[in-house]
Amino acid sequence: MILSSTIKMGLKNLRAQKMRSFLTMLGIIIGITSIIVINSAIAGAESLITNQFSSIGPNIVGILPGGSEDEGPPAAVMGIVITSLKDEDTEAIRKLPHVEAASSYVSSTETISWTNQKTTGSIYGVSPEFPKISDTKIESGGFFNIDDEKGYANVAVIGKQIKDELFGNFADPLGQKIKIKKGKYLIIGVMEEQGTSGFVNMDNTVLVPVTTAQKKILGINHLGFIRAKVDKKENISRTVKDIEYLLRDRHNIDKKEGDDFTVTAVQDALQALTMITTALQFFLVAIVSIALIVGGIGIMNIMLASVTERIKEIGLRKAVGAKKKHIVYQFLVETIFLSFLGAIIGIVLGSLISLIIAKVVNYLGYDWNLVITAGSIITSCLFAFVIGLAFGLYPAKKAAKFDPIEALRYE
Amino acid sequence: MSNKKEKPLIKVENLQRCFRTGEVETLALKKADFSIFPGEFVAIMGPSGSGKSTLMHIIGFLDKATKGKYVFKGKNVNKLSEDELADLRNQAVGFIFQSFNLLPRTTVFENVRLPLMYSKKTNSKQKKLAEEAIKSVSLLHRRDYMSNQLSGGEKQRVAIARALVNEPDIILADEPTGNLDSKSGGQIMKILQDLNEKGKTIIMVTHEQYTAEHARRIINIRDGSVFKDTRIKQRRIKDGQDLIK
Repeated sequence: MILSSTIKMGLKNLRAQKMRSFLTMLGIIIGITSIIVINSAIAGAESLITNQFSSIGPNIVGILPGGSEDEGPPAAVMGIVITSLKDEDTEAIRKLPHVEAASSYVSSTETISWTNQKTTGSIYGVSPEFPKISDTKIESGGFFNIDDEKGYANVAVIGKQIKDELFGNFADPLGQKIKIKKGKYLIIGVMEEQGTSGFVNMDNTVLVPVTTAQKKILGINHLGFIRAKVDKKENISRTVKDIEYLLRDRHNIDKKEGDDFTVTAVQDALQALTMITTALQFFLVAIVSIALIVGGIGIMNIMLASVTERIKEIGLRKAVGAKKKHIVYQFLVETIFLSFLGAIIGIVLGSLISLIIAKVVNYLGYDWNLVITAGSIITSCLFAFVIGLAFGLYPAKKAAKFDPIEALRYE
Repeated sequence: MSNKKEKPLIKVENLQRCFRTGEVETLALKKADFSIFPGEFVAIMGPSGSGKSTLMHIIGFLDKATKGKYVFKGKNVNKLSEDELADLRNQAVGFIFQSFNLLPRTTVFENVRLPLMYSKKTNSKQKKLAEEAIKSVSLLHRRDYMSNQLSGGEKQRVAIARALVNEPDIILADEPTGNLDSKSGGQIMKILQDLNEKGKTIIMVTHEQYTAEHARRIINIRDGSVFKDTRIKQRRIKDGQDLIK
């Protein structure tokens, strides 16, 4: 009975001062909005990265040139050119047990032209086993073979976007010759549309034999990286070790510390990534919590002013029989309600901003999921409750302590 | 008039109240000894600073005596806890203040209902009692008016309804006509006399001899001590017409 009347009375007081109530809530609204957006953005980014890695293919092991510290990334990731990996390494890896397929990779960005049509795309030099390693499917024509690789053949398989940009609907690209740098390349296959994979837009890519790319386009004899496909998931860690031993042997390296390569399983990379995003999430939420505490202090400040304004009312309530706890409840109801309403507005606002982020990233061609978890909503509400309680308690207790006679005399 | 064989509602003995401000001690109430019986209409009269308000605060359970004894309905009030005193303020007394003390931005109905919010009465019972109290001061037509839309006399009638709503043992009125014109003051005194005739115990604090004469008994207080306790044989007529004259 008393509680429902107290709640009604509290809400009435808040309604009477709408602008002040809104300003009081603002800190909480901003804090909760940030929590929702950060959680959603991190979850979205995580799903984007996971999808990109997963789309590389299952049971894939990557071999990058250059060694790495245990905790750090390989030097090649930093953009440093290291020439330690050769196509012969790929051939050796291919012969290891449990390795189903392996492909060399080199890449560059070049202008591609056909008659008077021009476009810019990624040129990837890969091995004939490439289709076995990636998700790539051939829509028409075929893929180059070992003879093409050995013979430095000027053949190419093009992505859907390259096909559309160069040929449109006017010609069948198969059998046509495109120009890359000074060489002309015969189109022997067109890939199915597949979007981005491993952060590479495969539709805007031209695949040529790795030897051709090395010699005729890039003028190098080393590799960008190697990828190998392992037959079963449970053989991955063993294969990683096999590759490490093999390459140490081939590169005349005695100890792990001297490695001029880094072998990483995609699954391990994913796991490490998940750990990083989780840590990031905690860190950002901790920062946002500071915003919430500032919001709480704002609430406390306004409530203290409100207590001073209502001293006479407090005196009257005590004179007609209100106990200390009734006065405490009355002020707590107001702060908790303000925090909760702030949290709800924050959740709605945060969800809207997250939706806009998702739409923009999707528009840019990436697969970004809108993730608003029940966990983040519950956390927000819990935060709001705790802040309302923690920062409302002091003003409420202060109000309850007033001597009724002094309070009634207060002008 | 009270029946002396009846048990007193209020009995104060050697009541003292001392206030301390830093090193300075002020004895606001030096000595008060009297009993008030059910159904009495008592005026506590004295000049400003005489200690009459301090005495009323103690009688109304808003304050505690420093020394002496205050027995209410046979119970020693000095020994009660803060919460027990709050219960007494809620159930045993109804306050009427000089400055009305109505809640701002609140209707007549909600103001009158306020003491019931701290009682254990059901919602429907609260509504019924509040309506009855408003009716008893002839303000039912102003039920949903905001307190700031009322005249001074109406505000004090709302305060009387609020004091009555929980059916208390005593009505404590602190200068109830102090902020009113003579006509409204007369109306308020009439309501108080009517309530007294229906058996309600009324204790009124005033500094005006004229207002005090509406009661049946006047306790004079000066410099913190009760110096005269007189019963009025012929109290002033209740409609306050002579005030207007």
